Amino acid sequence: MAAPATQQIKIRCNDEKEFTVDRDVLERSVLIKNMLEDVTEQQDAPIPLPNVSGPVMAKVLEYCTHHRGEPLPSADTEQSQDETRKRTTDISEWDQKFITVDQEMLFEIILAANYLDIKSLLDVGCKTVANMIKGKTPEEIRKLFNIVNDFTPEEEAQIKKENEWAEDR
Amino acid sequence: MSNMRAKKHKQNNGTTSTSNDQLPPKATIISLPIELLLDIFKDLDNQTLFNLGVLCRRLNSTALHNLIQRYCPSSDKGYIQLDMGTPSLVYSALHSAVFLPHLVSFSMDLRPAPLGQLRMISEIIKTKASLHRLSISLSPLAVYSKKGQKAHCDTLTTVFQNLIGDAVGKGCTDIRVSGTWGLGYQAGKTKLGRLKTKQAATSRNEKSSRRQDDGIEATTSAGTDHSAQPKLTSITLDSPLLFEKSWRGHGHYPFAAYLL
Repeated sequence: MAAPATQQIKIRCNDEKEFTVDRDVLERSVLIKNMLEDVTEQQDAPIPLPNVSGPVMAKVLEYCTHHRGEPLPSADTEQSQDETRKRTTDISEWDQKFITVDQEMLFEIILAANYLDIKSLLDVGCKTVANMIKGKTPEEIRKLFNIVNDFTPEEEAQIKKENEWAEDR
Repeated sequence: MSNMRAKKHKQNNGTTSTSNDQLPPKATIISLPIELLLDIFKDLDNQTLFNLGVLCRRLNSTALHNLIQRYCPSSDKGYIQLDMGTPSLVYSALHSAVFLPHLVSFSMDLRPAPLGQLRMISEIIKTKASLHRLSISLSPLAVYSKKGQKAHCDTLTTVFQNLIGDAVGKGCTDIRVSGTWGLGYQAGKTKLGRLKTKQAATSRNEKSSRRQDDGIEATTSAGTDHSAQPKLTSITLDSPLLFEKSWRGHGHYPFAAYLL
């Protein structure tokens, strides 16, 4: 017996790139899920996603497809997840491979996950950034993320003095 | 004008992006909205937060803010409260927090009076533009005197004196010092009573001087001083021995100049 046909939904990114995706995959995004629930009639027009580009959406859809069928976090589980997040920065093997991308893409994925409201993807992104930073000296972090020092000379002196002072302790 | 508006739109994350005719700004850790930075910070230890906070202004006001908030939840409003359990990294964060130039209240419970912490607090106050109230809970120096630690006593006295001077230099108008209750209360009362009398004689604008149940408060007026520097208007000392014993040889309170 053939499986029931899954509804296909069209989305359009800010670079006009369009995707046609199974509804259950797209519903990993709470934003899109709510949009679909608000629309009662069948619509052929693609859902516009002005804050996500095509390449980033392709990555997000790869994640959503892999995790389709998994239960979405409820309000209660979100709270308990927040409590345990401090203790664990573990990321599953598949997620680790998935998120091994260049820095710009990593931050774009985080921004997209936040906009589309995909909590689990946002967690993976944030934990990845946290893991990149952990245990590094200020100069190592500066180099890693190419952070420009924009302190005024007075502020710079204050911070420099703090470092000397901390070393003396 | 409308075209200009059409070319820019506000994203839900607070950043502004341009339309398709311009490339959007490159996403970096600095460009992440505050709620996402806080999500990342949840997974970071104190030292890493500190290391982030000294890199640029945005991370200073987010990472160091987050670190300070872990121990001083009211720091947003300028209220800092430290105790013996506060990690020294929080002192460092307060010192490097350029986003926090004004403090309303700096309150510390440092019993038994640790020298290192007092020095750190002095350094923190020096970096701030203003401080309204300083409140310190210390053990009286009698504790050290009894143990024959005169050198330590003298050092502590000097450090404490510098701290008071730094606070007053930042416009602090309200200083409260308390310690182990009961030790030398009477002696302090007498000495401060004399101070109050002297004040009354030298200042016609004295507003009030009153004795409290839990100590003595001396109040002077800023009315006679026309300089921009705010004057100390209230000092409450519940730890008289700290002043009485250590400064007996000086014949006056080192901070009396601020009061008179």
